[in-house]
Amino acid sequence: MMTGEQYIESIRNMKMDIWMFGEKIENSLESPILRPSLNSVKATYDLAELPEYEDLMTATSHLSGKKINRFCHIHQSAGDLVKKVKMQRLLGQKTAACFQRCVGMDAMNALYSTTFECDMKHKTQYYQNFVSYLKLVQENDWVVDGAMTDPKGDRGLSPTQQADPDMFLRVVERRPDGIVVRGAKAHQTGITNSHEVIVMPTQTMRPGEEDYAVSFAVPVDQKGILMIIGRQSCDTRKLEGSCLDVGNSEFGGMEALVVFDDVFVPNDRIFLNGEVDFSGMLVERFAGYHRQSYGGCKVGVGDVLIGAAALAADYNGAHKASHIKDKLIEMTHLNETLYSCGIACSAEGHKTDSGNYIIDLLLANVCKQNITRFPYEITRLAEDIAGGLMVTAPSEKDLRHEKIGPYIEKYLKGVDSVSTEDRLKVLRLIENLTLGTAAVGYRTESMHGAGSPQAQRIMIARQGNIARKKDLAKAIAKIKEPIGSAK
Amino acid sequence: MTVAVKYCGGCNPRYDRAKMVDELQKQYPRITITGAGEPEPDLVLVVCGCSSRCADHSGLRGRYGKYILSSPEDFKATHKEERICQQKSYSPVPSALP
Repeated sequence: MMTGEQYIESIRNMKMDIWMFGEKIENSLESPILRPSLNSVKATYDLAELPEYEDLMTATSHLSGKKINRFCHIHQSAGDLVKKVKMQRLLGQKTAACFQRCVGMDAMNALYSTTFECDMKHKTQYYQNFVSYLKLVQENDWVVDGAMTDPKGDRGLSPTQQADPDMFLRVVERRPDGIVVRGAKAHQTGITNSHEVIVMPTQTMRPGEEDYAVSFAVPVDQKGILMIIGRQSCDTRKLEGSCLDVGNSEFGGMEALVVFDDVFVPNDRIFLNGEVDFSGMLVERFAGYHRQSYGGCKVGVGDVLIGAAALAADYNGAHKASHIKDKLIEMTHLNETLYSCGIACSAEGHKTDSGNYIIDLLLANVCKQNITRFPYEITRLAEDIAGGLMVTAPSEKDLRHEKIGPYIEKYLKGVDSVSTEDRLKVLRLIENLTLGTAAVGYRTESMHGAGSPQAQRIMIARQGNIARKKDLAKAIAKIKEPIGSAK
Repeated sequence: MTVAVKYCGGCNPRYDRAKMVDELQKQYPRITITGAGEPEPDLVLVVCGCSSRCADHSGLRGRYGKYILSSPEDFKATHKEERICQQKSYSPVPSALP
């Protein structure tokens, strides 16, 4: 396994084509805007080195028998699925940000079983390709980005009906030694901090859409790949050099639009190439794993936000008020409900034909559906407890100023035992999580990441087994209509 | 005396696990605390952060046994363990253990 420092050096050695604010970023490691996101990924390496966390952070490879980072692991039991969620909660607690490495783990686990079943039906070689690739990932302890979301253009039209055929990533050329792909993937979390990217179709493809049913892996500095960094609320505060004003100066997340401008993929890196009947399986399994993930990572960030709200109450002198206590209870209740869903869909996981374990899809979708709601209520309660100062407090420069600083010290003081600066620090952290850079991960990503709310409702409708529920009601109500006739 | 410590992953510990182990070491300085990979420890302590006790300790064995701890109260039990008690620096009884 790599150490955190070795990981940083490995990223330094990559030649990525990164753009931000209209300029090419030659050294993303030194960018004040991007560096916190790199630190979050580094934490996945650092914690794996510590005995207090290695039980969650590491696993034993079923391929080599060696100790590996859990982010490179193929789940071998329901217990592994549970440990995944616990690891994600831990990392959310330690970074209060998106640590970006889950998406690759979820893509790899989805591909492991899907390529196996595709090969069984179509006599293809994708499982062998994927296992060879997986060995490289595990041996090198790589960070792998999982890229699914296409720009999609007109949502009312299929891939082949789009005015611009590149709105869904597709194969534009098939050669004896591989394929050439063109298109883009949106919202790519952690792409600039990754060694590799696994591309998957964005939705179930139909006959006639074979060029769009494609999955593969390439290094992120492969010729033709270009990344355009997405803005985050308050992002340029990181350029001001103030630890206080950014709320979380150490950790963060990042997202980018990733363009694949005629990228070559060699045959041994292809995991799906035209088998439209397996595109839906891959999408469904990846989405299921990723919806499970949110039952861990968002809960860990929620732990930090609840702690920050409780500190704000202490510093405001409001901690004894019954309504404050009740709000903290409500936040905890919501957060632990999310965790319960993450644990439940894992504990109810089952073995696939390939031998790895997959979550219970119904419970994973219920988990993510709750994630689209509860973090919003948790942030609302945090803002309620914090008070308006979290959005009206002056800057650190004002606090340090010879003339006006003393006024801030005097008038923005809470309880006497806590410094004004500490009070402002916790308020800035709440601001960061609820409407600053971290809100990208904690709020809107909770809504749309791993699929927007309606995507989960479709899955819940499919898996909800309403017919059996009708039969149960008939039996209790002594309705004579035959059991099993309900539709 | 070697005491191998195996931690759970620490997703939501209800107490500071590492601090409790540090305190045990301070109280019994003649103990050698090692990682879980120690081949033949005298004792194994499985230090879990909550009552789910999820740490995987199936392959771990101590010559004199294994303690599974999930609360500060559980640590008190180790203080009653005769062989650990003998590791106090001021113990007048020389340890007969390795």
